[in-house]
Amino acid sequence: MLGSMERYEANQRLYQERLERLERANRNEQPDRIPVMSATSTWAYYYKGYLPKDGWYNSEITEKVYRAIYEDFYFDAIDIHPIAIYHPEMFTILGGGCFTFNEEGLHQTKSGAINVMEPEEYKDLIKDPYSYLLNTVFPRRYKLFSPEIDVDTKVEGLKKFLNFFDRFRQEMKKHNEICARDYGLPSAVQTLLLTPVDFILDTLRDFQGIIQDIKRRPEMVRDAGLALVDFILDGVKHLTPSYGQVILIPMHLPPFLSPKDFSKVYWPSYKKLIDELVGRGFMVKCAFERKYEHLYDFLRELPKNRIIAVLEDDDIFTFKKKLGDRMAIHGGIPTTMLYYASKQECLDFCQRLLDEVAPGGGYLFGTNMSMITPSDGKAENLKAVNDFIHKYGVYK
Amino acid sequence: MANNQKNSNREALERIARELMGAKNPKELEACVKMLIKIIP
Repeated sequence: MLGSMERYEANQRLYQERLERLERANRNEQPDRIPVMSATSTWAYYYKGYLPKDGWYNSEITEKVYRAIYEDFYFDAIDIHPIAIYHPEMFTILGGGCFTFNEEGLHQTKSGAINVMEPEEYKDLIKDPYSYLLNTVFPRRYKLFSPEIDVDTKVEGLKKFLNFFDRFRQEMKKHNEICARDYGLPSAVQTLLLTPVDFILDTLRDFQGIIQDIKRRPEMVRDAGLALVDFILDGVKHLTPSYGQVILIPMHLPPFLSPKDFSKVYWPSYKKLIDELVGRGFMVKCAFERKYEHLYDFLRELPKNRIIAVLEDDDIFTFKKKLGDRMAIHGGIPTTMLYYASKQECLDFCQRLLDEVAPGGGYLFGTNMSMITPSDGKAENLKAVNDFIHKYGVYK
Repeated sequence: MANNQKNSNREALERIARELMGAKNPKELEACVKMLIKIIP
């Protein structure tokens, strides 16, 4: 048995080894072994016999849940953690918002709540995104920002909202410290950003609105995207690149765009954002949610070996052949397979990943998407595939 | 009405920036207000 000081030092060494493993894989190089990534989001609560909402007011339950995940399954790094950023009370304080919560505590987009921007208002968004949000979007979305609420009430409400935000930050700090100290587990993600056009989709116009805009006023969508690049970059203004870590960008609209529309409205601001982040020294992990096969020619133009592609529904074997010389790949095991397939079928698939995706490096093993509900994977299958990749995914 | 709304929203954020975030000059105030706008979901 290791004493507490020896264990601490062993975990420190493990932490550094894993960071180096991540850094090399992220840069599309060959590390010592394939990093096994954790994306056990709210699935972790169900695994431990809780519901996601049980963690809202109880830090001990949250800690018990993530400790179980990091003790029971092999991981090299954490991509998506189980700590909830959104809490219903936050939205009660603000008096509105885009989310609703189901009885288990999972947040979902509230129907009709996103589209608060009129198509004629693109010029206002372009002129000054901050003022437009504060003075036009927030009053439509939140009662707290409406004209009939006095300043003192607004200040009190904002203080309460910030308490929740601060609680999340404290919870994250505690999680990261425990992971590093007790498990030698680094966080793989520095922060999360949206692309400019996905910001318009996700927070201002919703799907129907932005698709109409792309057909009727594509130049405005393009120009708003370009105007929002600096706004998005303000989110990393105080960050410097951190060894082994990435900026995570989940991408939403491109699977629904033709290459022509993608080129016209999405690509200009997306490329500008990526070039700026890479120019500042960041590695960028793009979660290509759903399918991107029709856009591979564009992806080839992204900065070489500075992008990590998280693949959701794309064929990972084809992607490796077509883009493996340009960027690292993260993913591999579909959550549906983890849930519906047998252990042997999962392991056979992992062997194929080792044979066809792992050679040459630049590969991070993980699920194709975050594990959110119990049907995102059977625990015994997750344990088997992680152990298998850890044991056999060795380069030297 | 629109102007009052603008002022009161901005004023609320500026008070938070000064009282909770310690903003002392116009530049810090602007940075804090922008940060607050970005964290409201």
